[in-house]
Amino acid sequence: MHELAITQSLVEIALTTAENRRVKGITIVVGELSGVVEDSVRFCFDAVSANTMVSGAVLTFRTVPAYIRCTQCTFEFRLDDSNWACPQCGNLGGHVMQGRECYIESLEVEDGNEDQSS
Amino acid sequence: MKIKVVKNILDANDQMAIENKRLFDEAGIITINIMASPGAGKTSLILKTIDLTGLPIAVVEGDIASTLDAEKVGAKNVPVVQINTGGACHLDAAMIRKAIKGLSLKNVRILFIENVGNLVCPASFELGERARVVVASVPEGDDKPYKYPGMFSAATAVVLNKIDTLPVIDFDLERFRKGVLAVNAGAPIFEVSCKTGEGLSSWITWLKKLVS
Repeated sequence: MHELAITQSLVEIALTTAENRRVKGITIVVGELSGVVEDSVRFCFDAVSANTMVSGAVLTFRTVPAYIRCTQCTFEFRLDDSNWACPQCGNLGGHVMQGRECYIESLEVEDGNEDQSS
Repeated sequence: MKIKVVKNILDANDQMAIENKRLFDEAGIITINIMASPGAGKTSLILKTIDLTGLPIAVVEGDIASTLDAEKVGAKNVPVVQINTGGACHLDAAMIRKAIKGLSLKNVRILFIENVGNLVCPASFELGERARVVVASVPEGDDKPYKYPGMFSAATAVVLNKIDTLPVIDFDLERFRKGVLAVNAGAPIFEVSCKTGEGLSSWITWLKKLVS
């Protein structure tokens, strides 16, 4: 459900950044631990972007895997199937090194010289 | 044409949260975001804390609907304001900014923000808080830290409520502790019963240390 708020922010940032140019594509980076569900964002996007310069834009998601650093032996490992135990030393407990990302990486906008007369 | 952006999607909320935090810091108020699933005992913990700390406390109550929680807190004669999100599953920084305008914060030391009951969405939205406290409860089961790592890993402290029900519920305390430790090695766990008062003294001690 919070994907609605996330999608609203996404559309706002895209509109502001594109400065009145039509947005054809948006690349979004989401970490595995960000809690953002791609399908929900896609579902909200059509409604939220309707009648704006972002409507119809192709959404591309790049997922960032979660990596944990063991607090005991500092080994870094990929979080696999919610198993937080260090594969090196078996310790439970680690810091999230990556996997919480939730940002817009880039926009694909129309060049503006073909259909913008003003 | 490709434009590089690299902007957090929740940037507007994050900025507002930073602004809120500045306001709270200036006023000398420690703000604590209380998060939990519905019924874990967020309001009970706040009510008990009001009774036990003796510190001036104010409360922002976040619920989808109703003023039930605000009425309970208001009965303790502390400043309280109710936010009804009207369906939204979490509080955001703008809601807090708006809500505190209607709250008398003079001389207040602790502002509790009781988030909407939900173990997923509130974790993504900074409010400008100093600490995040996640309340779990025995009847929910010992697997919650494993199932909701996003929520538990972002906690400053974890309160396990309703330990008075341990004798009648299959709850593996060690499994719960391990789960919290796994996703969040730094968070203290307070095992309490808001009903009997058991375990609350260490929670109050921690809270007073946070405020001092």
